[in-house]
Amino acid sequence: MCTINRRHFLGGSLGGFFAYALRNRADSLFAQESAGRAKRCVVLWMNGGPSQLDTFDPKPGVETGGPTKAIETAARGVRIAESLPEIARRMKRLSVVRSIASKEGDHLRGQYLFHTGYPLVEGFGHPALGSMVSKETPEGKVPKYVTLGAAGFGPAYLGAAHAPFSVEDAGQALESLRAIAKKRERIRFLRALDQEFDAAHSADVLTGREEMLRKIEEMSDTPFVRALDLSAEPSRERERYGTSPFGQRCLTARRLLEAGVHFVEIHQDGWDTHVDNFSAVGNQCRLIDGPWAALMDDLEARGLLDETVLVWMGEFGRTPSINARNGRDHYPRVTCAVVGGGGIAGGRVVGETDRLGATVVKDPVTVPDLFATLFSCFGLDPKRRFRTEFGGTATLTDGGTPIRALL
Amino acid sequence: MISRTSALLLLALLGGGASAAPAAQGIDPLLAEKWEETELRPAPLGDDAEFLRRLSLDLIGRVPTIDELKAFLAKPDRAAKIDELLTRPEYPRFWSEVWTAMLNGYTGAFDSQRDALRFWLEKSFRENVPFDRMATELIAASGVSSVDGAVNFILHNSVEPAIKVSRSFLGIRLDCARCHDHPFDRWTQKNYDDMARFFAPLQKEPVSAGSTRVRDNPDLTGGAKPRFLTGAQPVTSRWREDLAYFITTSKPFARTFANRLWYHFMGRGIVDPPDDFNLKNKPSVPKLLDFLADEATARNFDVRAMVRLICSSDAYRRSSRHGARDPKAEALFAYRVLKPLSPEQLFDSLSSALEAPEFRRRRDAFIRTFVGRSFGEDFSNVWRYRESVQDVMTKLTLDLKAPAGSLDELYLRILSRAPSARERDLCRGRAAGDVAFALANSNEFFFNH
Repeated sequence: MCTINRRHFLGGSLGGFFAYALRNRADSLFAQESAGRAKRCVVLWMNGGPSQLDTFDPKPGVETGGPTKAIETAARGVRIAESLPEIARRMKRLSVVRSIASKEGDHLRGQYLFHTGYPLVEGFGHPALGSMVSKETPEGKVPKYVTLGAAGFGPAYLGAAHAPFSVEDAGQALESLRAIAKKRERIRFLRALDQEFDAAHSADVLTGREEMLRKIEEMSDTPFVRALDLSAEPSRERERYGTSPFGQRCLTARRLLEAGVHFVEIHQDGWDTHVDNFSAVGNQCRLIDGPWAALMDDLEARGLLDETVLVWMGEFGRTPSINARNGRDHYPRVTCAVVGGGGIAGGRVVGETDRLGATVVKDPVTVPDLFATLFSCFGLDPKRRFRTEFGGTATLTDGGTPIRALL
Repeated sequence: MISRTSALLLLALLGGGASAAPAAQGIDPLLAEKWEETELRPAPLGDDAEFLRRLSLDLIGRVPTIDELKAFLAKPDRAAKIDELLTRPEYPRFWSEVWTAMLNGYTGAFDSQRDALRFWLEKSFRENVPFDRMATELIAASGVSSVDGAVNFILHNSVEPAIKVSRSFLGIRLDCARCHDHPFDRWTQKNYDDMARFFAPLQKEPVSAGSTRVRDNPDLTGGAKPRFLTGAQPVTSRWREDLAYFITTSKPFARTFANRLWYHFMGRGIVDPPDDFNLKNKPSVPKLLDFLADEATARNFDVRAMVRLICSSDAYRRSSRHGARDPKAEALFAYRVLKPLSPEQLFDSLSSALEAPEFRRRRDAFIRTFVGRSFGEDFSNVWRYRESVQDVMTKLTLDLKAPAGSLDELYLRILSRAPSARERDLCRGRAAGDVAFALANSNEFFFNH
């Protein structure tokens, strides 16, 4: 049900939800697209900027490495921090990109770059990765782009139809969806009352709003709502994900992906380790290690891992030098990301940093390159163009080239 | 017939009679001429209640209360109502919100103080400061962000101020020209570079937490002189003041100002989108744009005078009801297009239509929710329809209490009209809560029509 095909973009009903979403298409500029098998994507967003030196590019024994120890992983030659043992065991399914460099050392600007693939220019917004995936995947009965634990980044010129469905608090979201369910009859009444006005004002916005009301009426009883309700999950399964908010979000993500959501971003705060970096990062790793592994296992067991791209990243890396408060500061010059699933080769390492971790010495990668790689998994041409609201066109990535070693 | 001719004559005489025999003058004759040319039949005029709803939304940012509505219907003096609303404190407040969104969006980039800018704008609209003076102060502002409100415009847009200033005050988009020559307009990359240099001396220095000083450093004016789009170059060392002078005395400035006001009231610019004047995007009624721009100049950019001019026209009263959608009729203002309420308008309208004191305290949160940081757009364009499914859902779950009263009163409060026979049937036997819920979430309520 989720295949992406060309015909769909050319003649389908994808943009019909909103008239202006249709107008945004630049069909004549359609470029050839290779076959990709990915249909879904999960981003594990490490907010604050995770330390590469204490996670996926450890440097034990050198003066910048700190007390962090490295362990062997299932992938030969790939060593990661010891506080990620479960991920180490699954390293054959994941690859590490150690050589991302950017210029954005400010949180918001870095977050924007790693969410959209473009530098932030006030007033000229670019859509988030999730909105782009939403745009390129077929319409279903569930929201296509969901964020868990944060508001997420938006659709910019792709239009409100590709805005994230933000579940900042799953309990609250469920409550509000159930409140909607109780109002179904009222919503039907509202739609009946709307008819007179709508008939006297034929306008796309009215059709669009009416369509949303219909969707909402439907959504109150859909796999989406059921997926958000973790109490439906057997307790043994729930225990595997733990009780932390991150664990709950991983489990929710799995249920959402099964229900047909195409893009889930899981938000995890706590990586801005200016103070006490080593204990803080160690704790963070132990916190994400189990739930992340459980999510991978479940996706694999359900045959979904091969069509689900998995990304672990934050807005920048951290300084090799250790500051006076035993912390590490912002360091966009060396940023690390982990990718896997969705047809991405596992067990590999892309790029290399010098002995101290101060600079990239091999295979430098830009954020647009990383995005181009992700789009390739979906079979999308990174050079594909969109029409923006201020009249020009923008490509899917800011001049990125897919990382060959991962495809 | 006689009255119209003599009115035209009178208008020509009062206007100073610059040209010998103007064919048509004024908003309505100019539109009528265009409709005749294109054989369009305009929609009829809306009724008094529709007029009041529009005027209240456009000037004070909310629907009329039931008492305001009843009083106006008893004595429908439109000119007096325009004057009255213009003297309400809600007018400068609402207009400052509209213009703050246009100039600075909804975020506070580079520690710019959105509220300080809004207060400055509110004061300016309250004192009816001529718009060319407001523009000059915004473009040339120096000072500290927490104290000198106007400075927050340049501070917020300090990455590429030339682009934002051109869009806001000239209706010219140099966006493309910063990287290459504009694909279908006359602007070149050199034009952009020449304009951008007006802001080269701009310096930002932190003063204290969250407060920034913006000033021009005269040491940085040594390089190549900037050049305005007309070719004019600064004559003093205060480049931004020179630029403000070039801009506010130019024709595009008057046109953009007139067009933006027209867009605000009519839901569509004569050039549309209102910040995109270019060779391929011509005005739909050129004479009307020229007329309004000339009026703005002749009236020294008196904002209230322009409001009176537009709001007292028949064009402003034209009904939004129409058959099949007709883009040509929309471009020529033969019927009124729908305009979605901004979050501010929606909130204030809900607060005044329903009795919800609890709700009233959450204004800021409401506005943040419904603008959403998801939309990092440039609001110098238009307030477009940008509701997501989740936004609609959130609105549907707002806990709004139905005010006491009859069905007719509910309709008057929320939709500013009485129910139709069909609606009476549909509502028969329904609880007031059901009806209030439906009306407060209806399309009719959500749009300015």
